[in-house]
Amino acid sequence: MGAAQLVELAVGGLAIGCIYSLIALGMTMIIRATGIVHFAQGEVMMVGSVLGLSALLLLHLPFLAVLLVGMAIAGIAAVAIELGIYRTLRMRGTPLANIIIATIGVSILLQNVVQLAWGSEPKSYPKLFATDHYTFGAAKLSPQLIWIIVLGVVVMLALQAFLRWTRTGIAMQAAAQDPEAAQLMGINLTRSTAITFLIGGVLAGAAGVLLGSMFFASFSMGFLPGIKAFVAATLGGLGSIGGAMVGGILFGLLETFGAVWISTAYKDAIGMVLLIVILLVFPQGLAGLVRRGR
Amino acid sequence: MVRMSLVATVVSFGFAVLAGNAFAQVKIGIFGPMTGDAAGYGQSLREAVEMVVADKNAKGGLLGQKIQVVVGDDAGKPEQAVSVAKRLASSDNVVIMLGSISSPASLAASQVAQQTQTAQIVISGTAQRITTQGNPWVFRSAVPDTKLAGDLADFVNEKFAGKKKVAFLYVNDDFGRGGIEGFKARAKNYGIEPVADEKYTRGDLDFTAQLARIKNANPDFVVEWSRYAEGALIAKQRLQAGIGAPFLGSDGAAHPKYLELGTPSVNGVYYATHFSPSTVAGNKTGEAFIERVKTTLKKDPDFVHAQAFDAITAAIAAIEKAGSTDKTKIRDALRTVDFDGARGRFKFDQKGDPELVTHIVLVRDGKETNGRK
Repeated sequence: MGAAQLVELAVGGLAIGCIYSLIALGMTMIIRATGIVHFAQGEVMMVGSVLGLSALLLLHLPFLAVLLVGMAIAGIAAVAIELGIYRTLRMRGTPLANIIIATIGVSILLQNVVQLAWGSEPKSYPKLFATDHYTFGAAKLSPQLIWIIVLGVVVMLALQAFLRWTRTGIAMQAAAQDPEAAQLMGINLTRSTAITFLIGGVLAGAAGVLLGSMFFASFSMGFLPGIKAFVAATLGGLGSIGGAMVGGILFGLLETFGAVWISTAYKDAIGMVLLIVILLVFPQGLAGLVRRGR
Repeated sequence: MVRMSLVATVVSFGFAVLAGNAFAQVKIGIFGPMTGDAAGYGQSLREAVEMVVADKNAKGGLLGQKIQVVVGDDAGKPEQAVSVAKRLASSDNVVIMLGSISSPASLAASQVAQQTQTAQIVISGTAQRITTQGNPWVFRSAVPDTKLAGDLADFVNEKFAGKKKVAFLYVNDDFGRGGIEGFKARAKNYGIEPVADEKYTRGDLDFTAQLARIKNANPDFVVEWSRYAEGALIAKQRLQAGIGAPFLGSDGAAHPKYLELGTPSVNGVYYATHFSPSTVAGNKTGEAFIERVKTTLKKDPDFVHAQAFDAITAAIAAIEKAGSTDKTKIRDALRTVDFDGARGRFKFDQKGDPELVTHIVLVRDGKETNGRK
């Protein structure tokens, strides 16, 4: 394998890894704030992707605007689900395990609603970039992949800045670490949880538009990436924001290179075997490794 | 006594009318998914059959009687196909039945064909085992999957003589594995050697890894067995991966959505198809069939229209040849029918499969063109 191909594969793996990271970040933030393992996160991504495409086709928006529209729609959808379903369940004292099962229900519901309302056939995003590929030395790189990596990293850095330097971000961190103490300090928990879902949805929406522009948008597109993002979040350490980012990117790279170097027939199995091995050695995931090292 | 005889007269008159109705018509049964996910295919089956039957009835019918089409709905499910086929053969007394669309439903119904001794012409089920069960009552209009894949190997040998290194890329299920096996079986006669064998899971979006391995194997051509959504993505990504070798796809790509999703990346791809308006040029029956569908149904014919058209034409020809509605005579006559169908010269082989040459399409400027030309 030449250096050019190595670069091409690495960029491909990084791009798909960024998408996993964006979904995994939402999952991990929701777990920190509420303890809910949100299995419908892949479908929130799908909603952002299909409605982002509809906005693009109806309003002829430029790509960055479509990205923002997809993020906004997915964010609103996530908040609506939180306020309408999960919060109601929590207020009624439903055990956490049942709420987690309800997230699977939400996942199936979203797929069916979109299938009925939007159609069951995949639709492709229009061609977004004038050039077919950028050339770096001998390596040919698709502009889409580069943009996914750039935008993915920008969104993740913005999230870090938000959590570290804004009042709301700090309040969310506090509420996630110790809800009772945070509430005593005057933090509105309901509001903080809703904002967590909003941000998780926004990140998933970004992943949806990016993934849709690279491949297709369809009602079933969220399932496999959702499961893989969940694995990536676990790999990084459930509940750790840095872990979700690194876990997603690592999972994307491993999946790509594992398939090339070992066998494409075991592409999905390679990532899962790695997950099991890491959890056996470091039960807290990669984040546990970092904490132990300190 | 008068009252009694009056009642008897009325009753016997009633029977005579009923019997008259029942025997004045030749009943042909069709079944397929009329509801559910695949209802569009069931609809095409029904449209094509009713179109041919209406023409035939307008010209005086069959054996001096009108043809009546009895429609059954199997919803694409094998268990429902069994009960529908039973109803058609037993209580509706059809002389022959046409159906179904999916392989599992067709195979399940073929047991009923044997039990009730009613000939069945499968419309779209392509699984080879439907006609290799030793069941003398089952025939098929679709080209079976192994022949389709084998014909693609013949095509490669003619079109790309001297190109012997093939890479395989396919979905890891019955459809993908079956197609590649069929291709390999015929290709080894020509000394075609596999240099890569890459699989993916149904629903995968990213084929970077598979295409990288194929690129490194440096094949002369790539045989790809996918459904249209994955196929269109592969067509796009093969260009990004910089693979210049020709791609040959399966009947899974033969769907308008493949061109819609994959253009312009699908330009230059060949695929095997059950029917395409682009490959019938020169076949008068085929051209007339396309015109007829366009004027009657106000749409372009799909492959089920073509398969159903040939099946009902074969059924009518067999009944005419048998000269009676005796089901065994009709079955025997089916073995000897030979006519110009929508897809070419049509007759059944020993197994009951059609002796058609698989149509191969080459995509040019986002449109299907005849790949053999």
